[in-house]
Amino acid sequence: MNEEIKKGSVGISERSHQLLVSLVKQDGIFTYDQPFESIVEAFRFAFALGYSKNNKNDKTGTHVTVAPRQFVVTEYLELLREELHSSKKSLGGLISEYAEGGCELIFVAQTEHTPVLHLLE
Amino acid sequence: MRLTHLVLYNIGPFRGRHIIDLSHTNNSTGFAFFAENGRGKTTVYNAMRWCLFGEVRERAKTIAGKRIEGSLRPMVGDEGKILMNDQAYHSDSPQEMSVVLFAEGSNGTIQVSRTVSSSSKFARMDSEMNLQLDVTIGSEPLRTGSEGQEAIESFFPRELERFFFIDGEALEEYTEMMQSSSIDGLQTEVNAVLGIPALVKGKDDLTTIRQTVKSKIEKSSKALKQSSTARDEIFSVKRELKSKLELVDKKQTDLKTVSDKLDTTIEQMKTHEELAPLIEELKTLDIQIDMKQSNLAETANDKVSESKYAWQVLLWIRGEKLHSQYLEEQKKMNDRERAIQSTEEDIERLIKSITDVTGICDKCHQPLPDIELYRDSLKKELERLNSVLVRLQSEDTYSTKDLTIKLGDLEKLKPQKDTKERILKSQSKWKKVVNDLETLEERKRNLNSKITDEAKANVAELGELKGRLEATQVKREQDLKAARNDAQMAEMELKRLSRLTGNASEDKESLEINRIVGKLQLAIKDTISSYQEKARVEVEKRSSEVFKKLINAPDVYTGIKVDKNFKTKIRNSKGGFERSPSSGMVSMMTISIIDALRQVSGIDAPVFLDTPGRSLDEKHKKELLEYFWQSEGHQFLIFAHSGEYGIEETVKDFKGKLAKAWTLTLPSDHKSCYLPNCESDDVLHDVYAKKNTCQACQHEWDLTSKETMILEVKT
Repeated sequence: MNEEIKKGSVGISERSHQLLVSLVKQDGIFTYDQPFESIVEAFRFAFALGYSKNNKNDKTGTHVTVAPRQFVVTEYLELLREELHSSKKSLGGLISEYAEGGCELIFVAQTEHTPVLHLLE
Repeated sequence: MRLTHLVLYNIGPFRGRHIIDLSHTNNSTGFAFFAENGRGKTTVYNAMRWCLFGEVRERAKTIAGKRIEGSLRPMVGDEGKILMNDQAYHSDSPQEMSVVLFAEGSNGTIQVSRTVSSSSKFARMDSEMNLQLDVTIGSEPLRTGSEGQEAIESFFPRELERFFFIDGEALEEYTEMMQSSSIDGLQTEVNAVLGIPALVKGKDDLTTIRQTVKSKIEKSSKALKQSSTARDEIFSVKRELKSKLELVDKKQTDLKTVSDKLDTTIEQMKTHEELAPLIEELKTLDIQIDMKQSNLAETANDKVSESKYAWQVLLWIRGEKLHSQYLEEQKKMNDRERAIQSTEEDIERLIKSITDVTGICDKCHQPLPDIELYRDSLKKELERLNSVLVRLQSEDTYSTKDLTIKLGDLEKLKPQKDTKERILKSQSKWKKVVNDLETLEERKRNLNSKITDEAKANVAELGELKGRLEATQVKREQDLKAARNDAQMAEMELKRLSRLTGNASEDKESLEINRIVGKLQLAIKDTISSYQEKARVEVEKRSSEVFKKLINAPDVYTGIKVDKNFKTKIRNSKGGFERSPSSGMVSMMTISIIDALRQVSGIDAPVFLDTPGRSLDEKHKKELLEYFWQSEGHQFLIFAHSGEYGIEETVKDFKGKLAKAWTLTLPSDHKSCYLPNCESDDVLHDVYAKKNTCQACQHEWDLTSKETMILEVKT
């Protein structure tokens, strides 16, 4: 059970990054559906959404790295341990795939004018 | 003036009512009352004084050159010599005393009635007595009280009383007054006779008037000074007032300008009246939007705050299953560990049993049968347990520590129980506010589409202008009020100054009065001096005439000298003055002077002489009556002690001159019957009953009675 886990880095596509940026609250603007304080929070939400719906997406094209100091991948190791074993992916890589998958779901929700937080239901 | 009747009631020794009839038909002027001491001569004399002047004084005294008035005799009381009859005072209720005097004067019949009666049941002092004075003169109406007194003094001045009521016992005092260098001589009397006291009083009054006038003049001069200062000030105050009134005008104009502008603005605002409700609604909407926006910021921030844990909710959807698996795993692991431990303990116990089996029973200590069989069964069980233990230990599973860490890591991801609900609630709240805000903004857009920007700007501008103008109007009203107050103050000051200048004219009237009064004072002073000199000459002349008649010795004495200080001396025929005249001579001189003064006074009134012959010898006593009881003269009443003048001799000597005479006696004075028509000597004297009874007319009289009787003497 003490197999080696590769941490890897977290990142998402530029498109998804733009989406996440659009979900971060801007000073003085309150009417937009921007429920997150920072890009890291938005990323964490996207990852959690992808993971909860078991929706992964491999990023394509240019990707943007998410600040590693603020997003500690090992905090989610226990959730992904088995999948890591089977997939041989790095922890960061798997998280990034789930995040990308989460962003896909958010895109769809936005298209349907569903508020982001309604994705909790 | 001639007395006709005198009515005495309860005065002195006169109990009850006594009427003295002084009327007579011939021209005789003499009247005489004869009595022993204590029979009431002086009472009759005093009764007339009391009736006329309301008071009776003890004899005056001269102390250190000054005449000291005698003290007042009380009417009632337990101390001093009272005027009221003793018995009336002690026994009557009400206590009453009265004297009524009838006379004939140039204005007709004069009637003076003075009565006192007690106001309380038993009066002990004068203040408890009611006084009633009634005076009738001719056909004039009845006068009472102070008016009555004034009427009496119009024909009988009080200050001249002592020239008509002459106290013979006080003649020495008069003499002393006339001769001593230490007292004022006759000056006071002469002044009184000439009415100089009135003049002096007039002079004093004029001095007071002059002082008042002078103070008025001073006041007016002060006012004049103030007026001069005021005149100087008035110019600058007028200038000040002018500028203040100009300021008031300016302020009024300013106010009118702003009021006009305000009216115009209000008029203009009326043209936009239809927009007013819309603008009002817009204002309301703006307020609501502002509130919603603030609400929106709050709900948006709440949502952000709650969303921080949204990822936990999502992760836990799958994480919870894993967490449950680990918990199950942990349970299984605990069960295996407990099974291993139990198996190990069983193995240990079994090994010990195999080793410890001896083949002897512990209870009965007999050798056990089939011991070897028993040992084999134990060994088989041991083998089974060992194989169970091996199987248990060989199972592939997590260590306790690993599982605890895993569970710990997973639990860090676990959301709180109501996180999801809170997040969704915050989302829904925010969304509602967003929707509300959109609705409000939609309404605002709709309203805005109905009001043109220009109209809106106009209304806003006019509203703002109106507010500004209203504020300016209030300020200008205050400015105007202040300016008016200032002007009013200046006006008041101007009025004050004008009053000062107006009132300050020279008080010409007062100056004139002052001048006239000054002259009058001088004139009175001169008049007094001149009158005094004339009076001195007149008194000297008249008294010399009287004196010469009285002493009837023109060869020896030529008259009386009255010097400028009103000191008197008897002139002798040698042109000098009598250095040591006899006391009778001096008394005659005194009487001459008194009579001269009476003549000079011009008062037509009877003369009352009490104890006239006290210090005179027989010759002078006779001469005195000879002179005074002249026909056609004033009534002359003497109140004589029988030692001064014998009744019979007097009646005989002065027959024709003596109009009427009376004796004042007590009943005990009479040894014969005193009734006028009887006069019998046949009287029975009852020593025990203390009474006399006339045997002729049976008249009885009480010898202990103290009630004086007035009996007329046949003349």
